[in-house]
Amino acid sequence: MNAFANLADERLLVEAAQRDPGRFAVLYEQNFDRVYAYVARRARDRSDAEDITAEVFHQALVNIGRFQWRGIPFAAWLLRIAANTLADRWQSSARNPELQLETPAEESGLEPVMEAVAERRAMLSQLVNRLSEDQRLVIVRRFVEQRSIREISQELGKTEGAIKQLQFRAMETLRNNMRSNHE
Amino acid sequence: MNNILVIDELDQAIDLMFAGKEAKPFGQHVAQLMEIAAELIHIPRTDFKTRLRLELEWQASGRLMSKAAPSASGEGWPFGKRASTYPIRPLSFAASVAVHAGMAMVVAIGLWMAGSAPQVSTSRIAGVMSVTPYLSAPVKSKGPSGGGGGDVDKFRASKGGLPRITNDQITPPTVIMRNHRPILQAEPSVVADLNMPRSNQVGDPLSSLMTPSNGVGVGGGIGSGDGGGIGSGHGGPGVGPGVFTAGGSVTAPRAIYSPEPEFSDEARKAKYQGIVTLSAVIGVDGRARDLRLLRTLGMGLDQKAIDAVKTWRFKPGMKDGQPVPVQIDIEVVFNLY
Repeated sequence: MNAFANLADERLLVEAAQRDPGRFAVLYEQNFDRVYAYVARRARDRSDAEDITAEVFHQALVNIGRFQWRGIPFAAWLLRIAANTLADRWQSSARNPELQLETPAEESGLEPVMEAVAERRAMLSQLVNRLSEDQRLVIVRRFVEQRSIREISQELGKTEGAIKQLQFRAMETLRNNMRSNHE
Repeated sequence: MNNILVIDELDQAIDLMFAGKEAKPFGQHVAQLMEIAAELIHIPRTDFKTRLRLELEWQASGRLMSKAAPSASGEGWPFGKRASTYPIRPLSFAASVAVHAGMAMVVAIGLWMAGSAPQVSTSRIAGVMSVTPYLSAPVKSKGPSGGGGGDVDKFRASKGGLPRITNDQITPPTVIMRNHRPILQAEPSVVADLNMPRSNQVGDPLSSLMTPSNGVGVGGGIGSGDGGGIGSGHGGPGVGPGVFTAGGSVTAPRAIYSPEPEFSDEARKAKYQGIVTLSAVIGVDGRARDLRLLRTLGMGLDQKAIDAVKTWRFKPGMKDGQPVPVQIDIEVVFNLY
């Protein structure tokens, strides 16, 4: 699924950012989750994923003047930068030689599967931001920061049962929204 | 009731997932939710997204000034059709520069008359305040130690478990007892915050040697360090290498998640700013512990700094490729813009 419903709108956004890099923020907001999900799917850990995602957007901002509109979504250009950045990292790192094999996965049959996973994660990330504040906070603390129910309950001043309840409701909401977005 | 069971079952499944353990077969409802859970651990942190956006905005503003230098076509900044929404008129631009220069001069004179030099913030984080985690040079004084010991044996300490763990050691542990007729008998113990079972065969848990030995260290205890503990640490009745300081073969921890601290109402009203310096031990889990104030600010900012640093996450310091606890100084800068 494309992040943009209308390629013409996207073209206008890109051209605006090429004239005024200050407008790049709109493209960033539109594409952040997708790029992060793509990178995180291939990076070793969260720290690496954040480093590489940051590098992708910094490079994109520096080089946006070179982007030529050919009817291909802007996200594809960003993902190409991400793939190149990942490849550079892997080649310069002797620690993960096996990961180098993943780079040309675009030419293999694996890439559509990985792409689908990345798309699903990008969508999930956006859906988390639409949760109620209580539920969103519990999900972020529990899954992103991997804190225990006890730690979260102490921080938020609620009982552990209440935190578990919020966690359960939030995950049910996410599951239902994911389903309805797929249908 | 049934719902409560599902909620508990879900939480147990999540804990097992974090522990990397194989989850037992759960009900269909929980299994479906666990598919979501497996994806949720990969979503980005909100503060990372916000921070990156701020960085990009700064980068974009910098680009505007450097990229838009006068070009061959004469459409450059500042006296041309700058590549932005609104064209800049030379007269307006010159007036703006003059007004800003005048204001800057008034501020400078005011500061000079007040007898204080203005501090220029080099932070790139926009907002009410700036937080700059600063990892200092190696701390000279030793932090809380682990433990070590030995009685200058020719062999390294032998493998074994820990003796009783207490808060106050009376007798250091030994593998080979040299004094068979002590005047005052007390059970050997170590001071540690570990959840390890006691063992009848006392020794260094990290050793692989089976030949009974107290180790090559000194000062009683077991190991290669000194003191009455167990392990390679120094001066302590504890266990293990203790806390390192950055430098040499020990790398300093690096902050990877450092949300901004809150500004206290009192300090905000008083327009009070400055730097709180904390000493902390960054554990192998990347969390700060044993926080101590080295330089205080007051007005509630000290507690705000401590509260913030407790939530920070670090890439732990490394020694020989292994994460180790490292003591560092952290400066939390409270800056009002």
